[in-house]
Amino acid sequence: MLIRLKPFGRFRAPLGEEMDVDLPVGSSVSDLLLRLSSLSSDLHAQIFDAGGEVREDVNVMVNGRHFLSLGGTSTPLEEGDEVALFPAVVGG
Amino acid sequence: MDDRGDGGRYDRQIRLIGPEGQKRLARSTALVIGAGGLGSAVSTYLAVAGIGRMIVVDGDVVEESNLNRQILHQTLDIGRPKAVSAAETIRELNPQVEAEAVVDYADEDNLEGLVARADLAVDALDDFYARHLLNKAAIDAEIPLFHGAISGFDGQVTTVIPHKTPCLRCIFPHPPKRETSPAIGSTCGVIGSIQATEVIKYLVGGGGLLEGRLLIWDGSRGRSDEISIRRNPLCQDCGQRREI
Repeated sequence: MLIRLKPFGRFRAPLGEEMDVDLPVGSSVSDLLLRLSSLSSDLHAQIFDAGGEVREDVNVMVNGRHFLSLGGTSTPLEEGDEVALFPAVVGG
Repeated sequence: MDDRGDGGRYDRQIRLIGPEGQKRLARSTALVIGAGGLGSAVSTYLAVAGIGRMIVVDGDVVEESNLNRQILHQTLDIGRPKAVSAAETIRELNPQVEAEAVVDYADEDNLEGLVARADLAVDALDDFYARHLLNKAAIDAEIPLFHGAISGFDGQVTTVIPHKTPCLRCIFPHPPKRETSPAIGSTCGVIGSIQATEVIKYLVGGGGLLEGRLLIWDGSRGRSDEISIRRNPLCQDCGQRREI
């Protein structure tokens, strides 16, 4: 199944513009992030912390909802879902 | 002075928002939480636009390292409370604006009283814990919240209309840890100016607000994008009511 990925901020340089990612049916947010992190060690370090958890400063939006208000990394993905990946911006 | 008594200060923008829009600005009170980089940009443009009253809240004092971006403050203000310095600058920019300084950090104890005195709240904070407190207070008071945040050349903006749009906690359910972000004044200028534009559009009507949309600014590439965002029906801040 194809997921529409939209990277922003620091994720745009390694991942480029929005793209379709082909994942097996039944994949979750975790599967998507692992697929992306397998592209480079730098990208892995930008997504996961040393304990293998998604970094606190990473935002993943699935169809406009933050993954932490859905099912976290277990959130199931479906064909055509739109996933935005962008860093937390906190300063003022 | 002309017959409006303002010496024609607002002539160019009255062509845009009309005399009634100008009166609405003059009748409005904006609560600006934070007198740093974003607060400087937002407050400057709301002041010169002729908003009637501004309440500026900040418990910090001006440091030299603030002066690359916090344009409400000058070298002579180092060591002074930011809220006081900000209110003085606002009055100097536009003596028609009533500016009140609140030398305190926004917290659980004072936010309810602060939002109760305002028509709208501007998020110019630098950490998400306080942002979530402000988000909840604005929703409870049913006033709009104009969110902005920056880090380096990156920024984000959205407008929260209580019980209509996603709130800040819908978008970011868990506060990321506080950090000292890299900051350059021009990014604060971009994001703060968009926040001020949203406030003005909200008050005078017309145009389209950043409702249900998170605008992402990537200054390093000179690009803006937006993410469509949705309410969380179970949101602990805004999920108790039926969606409009």
